[in-house]
Amino acid sequence: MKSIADINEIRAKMQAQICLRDNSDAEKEIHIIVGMGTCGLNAGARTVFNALVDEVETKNLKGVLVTRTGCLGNCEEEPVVEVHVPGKETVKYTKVNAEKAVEIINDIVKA
Amino acid sequence: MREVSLAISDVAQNSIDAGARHLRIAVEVDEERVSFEVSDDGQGMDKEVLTAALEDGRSFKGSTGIGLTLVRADAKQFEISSEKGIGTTVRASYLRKDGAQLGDIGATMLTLVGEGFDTVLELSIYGRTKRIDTGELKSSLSVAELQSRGVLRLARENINKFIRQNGGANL
Repeated sequence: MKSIADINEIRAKMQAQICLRDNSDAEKEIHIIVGMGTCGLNAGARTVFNALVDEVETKNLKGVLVTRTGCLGNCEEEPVVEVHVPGKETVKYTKVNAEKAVEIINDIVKA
Repeated sequence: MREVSLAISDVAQNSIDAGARHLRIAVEVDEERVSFEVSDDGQGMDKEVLTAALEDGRSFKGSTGIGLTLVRADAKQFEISSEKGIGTTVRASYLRKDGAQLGDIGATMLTLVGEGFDTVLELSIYGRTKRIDTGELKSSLSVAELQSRGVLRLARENINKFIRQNGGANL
């Protein structure tokens, strides 16, 4: 049976491999950023985040990362989502809901 | 009353914004209360900053400054402690007879699997416990891979199934 020390050593080695992979792939990743400050949360940003992740899985997209951040401004237009595609201008979507989340993913696939 | 899992998300965002690399979220539901504690190893606050942070409408990060006000608004008990350079802990509890509901903690947890920080959720529903450690999820897959392979969706469903089985559908 492996000891705790053995398991930690294995985990450390795997973590190093993941870091290498992340560093080389991270530059090409498309980042979808969901504003999850208080206003965004109250307007439904959590639902939007989950819808985006579900659609990434449904379409089996690789190299796309959905991530959260705090207030993105535009409090009256929450939920707000920004899409960062490497080499392209950032696109900001406002008043996003679950249906629009699917459209955002479709826009990414088409681009 | 806002669902407690949204209050947890609000507090956790403060932790992330404070540069926390580790978040621990303890949630407890019993017959009377829905309670949580979020502790982090972010930059922490000295006494002066902490006092200012609790002022309604005051923000150090360009936001509305109403997050903690909303967390406190319906709480039966609320406590925040912080130490600069160490981290911050927020505790709150809400009475179920006042309408407090845990809500979709699975959906909240899915948003707390991120790069640069790890989250441990310790969930207790009428004494039955469940623990999720995002560091363990990330030990073999990147966050993007966890999302695209449906691992996070399964984790979310797993958490919510645990709650339904031990507490019913309307927690």
